Amino acid sequence: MVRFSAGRLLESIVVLGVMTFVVYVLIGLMPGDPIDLMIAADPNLTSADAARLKALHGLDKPIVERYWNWLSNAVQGDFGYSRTYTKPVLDVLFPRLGNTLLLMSLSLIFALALAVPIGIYAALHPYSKTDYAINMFCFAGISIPSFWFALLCIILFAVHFEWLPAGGMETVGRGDLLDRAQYMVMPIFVLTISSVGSFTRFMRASMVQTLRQDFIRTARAKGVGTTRLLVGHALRNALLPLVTIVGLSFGNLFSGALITEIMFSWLGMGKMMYDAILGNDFNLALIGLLFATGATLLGNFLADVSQVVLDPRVSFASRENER
Amino acid sequence: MSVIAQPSLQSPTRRMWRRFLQHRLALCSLIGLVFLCLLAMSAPLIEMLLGVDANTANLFARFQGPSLQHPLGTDELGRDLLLRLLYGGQVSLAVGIVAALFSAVIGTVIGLIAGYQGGMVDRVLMRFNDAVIALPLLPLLIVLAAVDLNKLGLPASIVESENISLYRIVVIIALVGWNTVARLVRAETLALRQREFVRAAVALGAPSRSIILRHILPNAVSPIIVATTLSVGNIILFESILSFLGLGIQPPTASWGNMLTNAQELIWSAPLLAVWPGLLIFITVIAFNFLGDGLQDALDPRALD
Repeated sequence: MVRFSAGRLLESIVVLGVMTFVVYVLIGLMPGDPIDLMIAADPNLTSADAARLKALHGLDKPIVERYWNWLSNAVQGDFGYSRTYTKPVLDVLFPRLGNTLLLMSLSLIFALALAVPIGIYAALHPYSKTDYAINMFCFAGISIPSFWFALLCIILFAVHFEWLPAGGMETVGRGDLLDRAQYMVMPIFVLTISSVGSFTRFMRASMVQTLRQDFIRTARAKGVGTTRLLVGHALRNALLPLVTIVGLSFGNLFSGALITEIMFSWLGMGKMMYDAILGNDFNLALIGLLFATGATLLGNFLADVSQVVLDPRVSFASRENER
Repeated sequence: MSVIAQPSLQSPTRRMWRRFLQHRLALCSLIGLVFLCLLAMSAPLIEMLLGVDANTANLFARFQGPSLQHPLGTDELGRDLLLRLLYGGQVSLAVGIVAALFSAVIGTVIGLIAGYQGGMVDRVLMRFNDAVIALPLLPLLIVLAAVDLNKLGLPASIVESENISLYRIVVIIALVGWNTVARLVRAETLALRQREFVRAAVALGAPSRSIILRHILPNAVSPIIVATTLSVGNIILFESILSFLGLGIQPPTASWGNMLTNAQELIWSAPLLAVWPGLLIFITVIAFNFLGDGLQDALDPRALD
């Protein structure tokens, strides 16, 4: 157990390490560099100044050396300054991260609260009309482009009915709980719809498979009541794969949050990253991407470990062989 | 219920067809997709029949309602909406299908090598695969789409070509989209390697290349087809998001995604402009997903009749 987890953790750390380099190089390949931007902004800068500034910030050095400098500062907790906010990037990142986590966790809770009962219902009535309809809705949720769905919601609820604000975090001058909740309704709704479909399908599949197992028949034969059979015997087993799927869906949730935040001007990490990439704020884009990568890797790691922790039938040895 | 299974009188291919035809949604999706592709390809013909040019702006004819000349009306520059949707469809469908095929090829090669070679090669490739799966896809795609091709040292003739945004998006999606196919093909290859006919071929001294190409690959085709079909929908979604954000297909070339970029600014004055492109993305993606689902049922020999 410990060996397995330690191995997986080490692997994730190695991947994160490699990704810091890949992302650093990619960010370096984006158009423009910080000094060119300063020259464009200030006509008094001469080319000699520019060269001196480039030397000062180490931009004349090869990319590997720059990466090494960045990394040695980063491990000491110094990730550099944001160009657009003129603040240390972590000071920009953390409030944004909080907003994103709020969005992600609430929509994850709603998605699961919908997916689990709906999935169970569908599994209990396989190939019925309702099951068919649920399946259709799941496919629709998976296939709908979330940015378009967000746009439709804005057109309908903000432009047409004027029930909800079209975007932002709070009304200037109000900002009480009710006000902020109004701003949250649409982003959370859109993000929930984008993940509920696949969760429901997994829940249904896993429940159907569990109900076919021998121990369910045995339990029924010895007279266990329906509720107890479903909750105590079937659900506990059927939820195991869902735990894994939730862990693995971290990356998708981040992607979904990114597009949702952009659509609703939600001041989260996804929008921050997108603005940073478009605004040539290299340090900020870098830390945002690395944080997203780290969180996704963590989700995958937890999914892997939880599978072996929660399900004793998955032995570590077989898990290792399979991989 | 008879205890003894009836011997099947049908050939596997016919059984596959029958199962596929039973999956009504998949069948409808296939028909719908073929129709959509034909419609998109016949855009120049429709352009001729209507007597309008898809890319000419006409500021005197902005935001027109449906008419004989413009069946779906005109957009913010007075261009015909139907024609732009069809040309955009050509781009979106082509990107989706071509990028899916590219990633399928990359995935198949990696999966075959990993599964057949085993050992260290397998372990390294699968670790790499795990790593790519564990990346947050959309943020990464945005960075890849923002990379300055001049800094990559590509020749100017490529960087400045007209279709560069098209090539770029196919390449970056293929770069990150191969892992599902790779994982499936590897699993299939591992299983097939243990089968008698493959071991017999090895014992008879067949070279690895011919074992892989003639014995393993043909038997691993079903999961490749299913995964590729399912990935087309996802790729169209990603393409539309990137184009919508201004990082994918660049105007004036229309794609369903970048048509929505302008429509977003106009939701107060012309909300219908935002409805059509998104609806087409939605229909196309859901059709590919239904098709993939149907193919999975049809091609999986373990599926129950």
